[in-house]
Amino acid sequence: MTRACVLTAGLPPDAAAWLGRRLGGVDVRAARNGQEAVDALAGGPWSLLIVDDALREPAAPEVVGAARDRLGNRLPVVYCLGPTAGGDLTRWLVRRAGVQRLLFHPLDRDELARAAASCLDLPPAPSGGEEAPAAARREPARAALAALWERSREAVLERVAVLEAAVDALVDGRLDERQRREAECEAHKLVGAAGTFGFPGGSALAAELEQLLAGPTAGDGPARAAGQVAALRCELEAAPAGTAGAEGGHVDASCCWWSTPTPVSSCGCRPKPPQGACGCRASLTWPPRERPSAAAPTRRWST
Amino acid sequence: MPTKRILLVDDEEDIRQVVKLSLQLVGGWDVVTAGSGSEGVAAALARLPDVILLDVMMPDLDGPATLRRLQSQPATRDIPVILLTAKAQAADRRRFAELGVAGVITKPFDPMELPGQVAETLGWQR
Repeated sequence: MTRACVLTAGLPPDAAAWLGRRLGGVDVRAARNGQEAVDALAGGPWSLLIVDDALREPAAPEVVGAARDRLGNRLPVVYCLGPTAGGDLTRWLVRRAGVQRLLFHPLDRDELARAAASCLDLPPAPSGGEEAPAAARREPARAALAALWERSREAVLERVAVLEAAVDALVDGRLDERQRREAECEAHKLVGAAGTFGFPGGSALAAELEQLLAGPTAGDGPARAAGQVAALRCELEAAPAGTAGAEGGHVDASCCWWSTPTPVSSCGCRPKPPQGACGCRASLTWPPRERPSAAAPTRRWST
Repeated sequence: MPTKRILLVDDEEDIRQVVKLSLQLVGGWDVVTAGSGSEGVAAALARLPDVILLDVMMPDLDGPATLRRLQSQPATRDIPVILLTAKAQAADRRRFAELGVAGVITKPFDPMELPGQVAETLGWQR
């Protein structure tokens, strides 16, 4: 059996060695900056890439894009988001770059080890005294979750319908306070439910809608909300991440969302463009229109 | 070792079902659920769980108010409480920490990882 090789980029110096010990038998190597990571990717083969948002020269999203350009979707990626990361970056990572797992700072090492083990199809990395039987229970749990999603899907989509009605009213300038509060509440519930059912991008969209609906909406806010709610429906109507029907584990239905916040078809849903027609597949440069904040995020590492 | 008993208090049926499934099938624990803060307090008194997972935003009696009721009852004041919340901003976390909870788990969560998160928060061996 080939030994799994993990490339970490931007993690604290001791993290790679620690992760190697925790995963046992896995070769974990560390890149100190973006260029080292890009060079290392060329010299693979790698089983997993773990990237920290604090990575620079080039920045972490660009390294992920380079990995995708070079290796396609074969290489699982775990991305550690900084505390200032926005929803646009999150969407790009999940939808366009096909990142398998998002972790959040302050990083929990055990959570990182579990995410890596999961991506490598290894038994769960032990945490203190955690033992293997939990791994044996996962497959029945996954099957039960998939069945639960099928039963819950309609109710979840009804929540999206509440949001769609509110956003329609918002666009038409007739959103009253009662409807706004109801929609804000439904968006909040979707933040928790979507990602839990395997739609992390849906959670990110719902969080933005919740925020947008929480306060006064002006300028391009209504148009942005219309695009977000259409993308949310497209996302939730696809197969959840990690299931047989998912496209690489993630949805690409709203791949033009970035550059087209306004156009929505009469049915309220943005039509899915033919693959490559919008150029999304041709380039994974982050981001298509503007760069994230140049300020380096604060990195914290909890134990 | 006796099986742990977990009480989940959340007004959302979807989340209750996912958490129950996760903690039972992956964690191997007994799970009791309640759909409101008042039901949760009653269930805690009746079942005396090993830990309570408590949603923050619920109609009527929200998570912090439910927590205060639990802390006011001698029978339940020492049961560890973990908050479940989609409010993950640093200010929210600081506010929650001041409530005297054992931990905070952010929604959305990975159902496969949830039992591990609970065990780690409480220092349980699994």
